[in-house]
Amino acid sequence: MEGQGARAKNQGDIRILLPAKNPISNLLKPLEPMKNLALALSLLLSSTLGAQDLTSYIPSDVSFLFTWNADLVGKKVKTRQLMQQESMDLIFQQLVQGLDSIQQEEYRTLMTSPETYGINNNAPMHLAGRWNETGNFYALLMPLTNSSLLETFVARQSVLSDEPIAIEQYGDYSLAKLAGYHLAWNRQVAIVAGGRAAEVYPDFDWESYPYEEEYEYEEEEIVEEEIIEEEAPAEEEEMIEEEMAVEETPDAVAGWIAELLGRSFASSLQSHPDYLKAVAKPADAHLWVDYRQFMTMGQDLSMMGGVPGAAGAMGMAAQLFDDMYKGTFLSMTLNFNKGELEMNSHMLGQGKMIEVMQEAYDTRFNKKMWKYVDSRFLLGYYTLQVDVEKLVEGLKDIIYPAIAEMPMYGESFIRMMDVVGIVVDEDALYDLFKGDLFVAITGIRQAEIPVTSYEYDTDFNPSQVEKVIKKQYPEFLVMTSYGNEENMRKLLRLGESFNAFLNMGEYYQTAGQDESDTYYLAMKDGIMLFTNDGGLIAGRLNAGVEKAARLNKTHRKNLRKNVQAMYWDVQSTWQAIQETGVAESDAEMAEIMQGISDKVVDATFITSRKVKPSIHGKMSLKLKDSESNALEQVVGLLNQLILEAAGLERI
Amino acid sequence: MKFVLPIILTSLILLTGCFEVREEVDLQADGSGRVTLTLNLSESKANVANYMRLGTFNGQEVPTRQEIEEEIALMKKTLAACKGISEVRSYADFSNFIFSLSARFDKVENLNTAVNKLAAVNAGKQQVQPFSNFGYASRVFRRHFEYPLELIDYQGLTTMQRYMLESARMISVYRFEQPIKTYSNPKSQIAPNKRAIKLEAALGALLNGSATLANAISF
Repeated sequence: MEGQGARAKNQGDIRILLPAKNPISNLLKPLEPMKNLALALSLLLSSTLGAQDLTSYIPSDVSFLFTWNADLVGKKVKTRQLMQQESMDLIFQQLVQGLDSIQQEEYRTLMTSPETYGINNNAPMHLAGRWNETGNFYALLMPLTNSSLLETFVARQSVLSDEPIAIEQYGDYSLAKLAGYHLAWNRQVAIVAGGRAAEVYPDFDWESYPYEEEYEYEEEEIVEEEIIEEEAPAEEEEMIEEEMAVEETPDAVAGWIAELLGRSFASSLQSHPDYLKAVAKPADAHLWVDYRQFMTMGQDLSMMGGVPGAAGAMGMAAQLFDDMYKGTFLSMTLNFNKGELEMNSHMLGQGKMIEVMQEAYDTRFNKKMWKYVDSRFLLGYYTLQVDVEKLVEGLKDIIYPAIAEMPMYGESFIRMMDVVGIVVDEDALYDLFKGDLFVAITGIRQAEIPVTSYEYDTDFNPSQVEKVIKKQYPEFLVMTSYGNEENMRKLLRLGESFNAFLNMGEYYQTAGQDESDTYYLAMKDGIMLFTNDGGLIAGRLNAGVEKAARLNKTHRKNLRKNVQAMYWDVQSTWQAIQETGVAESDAEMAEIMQGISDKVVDATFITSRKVKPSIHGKMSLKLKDSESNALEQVVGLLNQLILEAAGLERI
Repeated sequence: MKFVLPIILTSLILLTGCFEVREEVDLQADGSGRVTLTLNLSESKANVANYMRLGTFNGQEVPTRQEIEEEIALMKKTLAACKGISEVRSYADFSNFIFSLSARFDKVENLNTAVNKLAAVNAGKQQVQPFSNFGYASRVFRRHFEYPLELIDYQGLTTMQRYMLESARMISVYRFEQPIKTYSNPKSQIAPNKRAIKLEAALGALLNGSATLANAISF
């Protein structure tokens, strides 16, 4: 069947004929300005195997670098098959809209068989970006096997398009300026690049600027003029748009390309010791981020520092982040394994913040907490352990000197903190809260709540009736360690005096109307417990939960070996939702949960206690289908979601 | 409904469960009758009790029992002072949080005036535009529903507030001496004896304009 919204098979590929306006076009709207780049990006997925290192073309001061190691992925999955998903065809059609059919066909070939046009689909591809005082630029670097094939492709596009494409020669590389992006290539690499140069502000002397109170305004006579509203002719509007387009900064992008292909930078990533450490263990995908640039993104320090008002405050924050994260890099890897998606992150470098975190993470898990966690219906938990004193003192060492140097704010801030130091006994605070936190959701409970309702007789006369409604609520347990028991009791007595809770002898309790609304607070053996599980506090505070019901070895190891751990048991959560009637009261949430539980077994995230040479975090998503590769499952899920959004079903 | 609106919007600050507002009119053939307005917060009683105990919620001041009682007394006094209004009664159940106010009226026009005065008292210093909520002429009883709902930024409410409004109910019950012949609102339910008519709608639907209480009932 052919026509709007119908599908047709053509030359072995699955094609979907779309109406001009369709839901998928809305989904892709944000991509429109970068349509051509997006098309090129799709090439990342279509590569399969190889070993051609292009990082020598990437300067060491890039803000980020995303690498798709097609060679590794190709060993695990058939990426060409992934590219033939129906959703990819939908996306492709959106991207090539407006081109004639021959061009569309050539772009399709470029996407599905990039080797046809000389692109090496057996080697890693890189997407790099840099934002600094010169501007914001990005570049997609693709390895080439035969640059003349790519030249042929560009020449063909020049013939087929309305406006001929000029190919300029610069030393050993060629450059074609296309609509919205630049394409450049030499014998080894093709680069798709874009970006914008930074706006240039004249130097301004903020210190001697005459502010409002000193400035004498001249009174001007305002003459009211007759306003004639007149519609501008369409031709004029077009002319204005053209002029604006000319004002864009194509030369800056050409300069960025010249820097990359001419390797005219001080050093490449290949000589960056932290980057080399980060890529020592290969992964399917890798993201390298200059953390300082990431944290100060969009904040121009030179423009904002020291200026009164909001811009000044932002400048202060940016300056602080600059001090905290200078020399800090984030390396994230993604591996698609059978039945598991694994993401590792490493914070590395010589940044001050890394030193602070390494000190602050030097802690031990309070094992006494284990006995209070009932794992029989456990849905998930989150734990964090930091040495509060080392963290606060470390941050002070960074923040105080940075703020002291700031004009207008610095001196006042330091004076203020001196006064705070007189009032606050920091040592007492450090001894009060030890810096660990354990939050667990130990099940979903159901409470029966009596309510007064009305029933109507046949004449619609209301009469009061007593009903019982069922209310589901999560059972939670929060624990934290404390040092000075007497000081902690003072805090609790303060809460008691404000009627926040009632003293029940061994524990405190809020005055709830029913069991779903009553919370308990207790202190035991250096642990403060806050929960809505009355049975635990009133009945098992000394003994804890039965040994057989406590956390198993895997979880205990998770807590002992890591300073941060998050665990979500998706299957138990879904089971609890089904058993307690949550699905009936919140069908929408239940539907989402069912979708997740169909695919995912559990999710874990940890930050290792071993903080040297880098702060290591790991996220793992265990999938229900343990035989298929995670990438196939993720792409399959995305395919399904995109087709649903477009109002289509899978064949 | 008119003076109920501010109460509903205030309630949104306090509640996390559903609630019910009921408007009843018992109309005699001569145009006199009794009106009863009931607010049932029983399903949210745990939250309401907690917020009242704490005194504030999300930075908003929560009235005390005494303040609520004073407000009800003021409403009773305002109604009793209105021309053609008599036998004003109130009911307050602070354990289930059910509140009710009822009065006799000698003709529908006086009921409209009384409702407008009550709305003005409820609005405090804010200017309130008078509306005719009810009409009765030529054996046709009308419930008008022409409030400036466009002034309520429904989509601007939080998801939780919208959820609460969508789960909260507004019920209107009108009873007559003669059997009903016709009614204009197709969502209405008519009693077997044809002397009473009931209409139920989610408050959210009434506020966003997808439902209406408007009805013209002839007998």
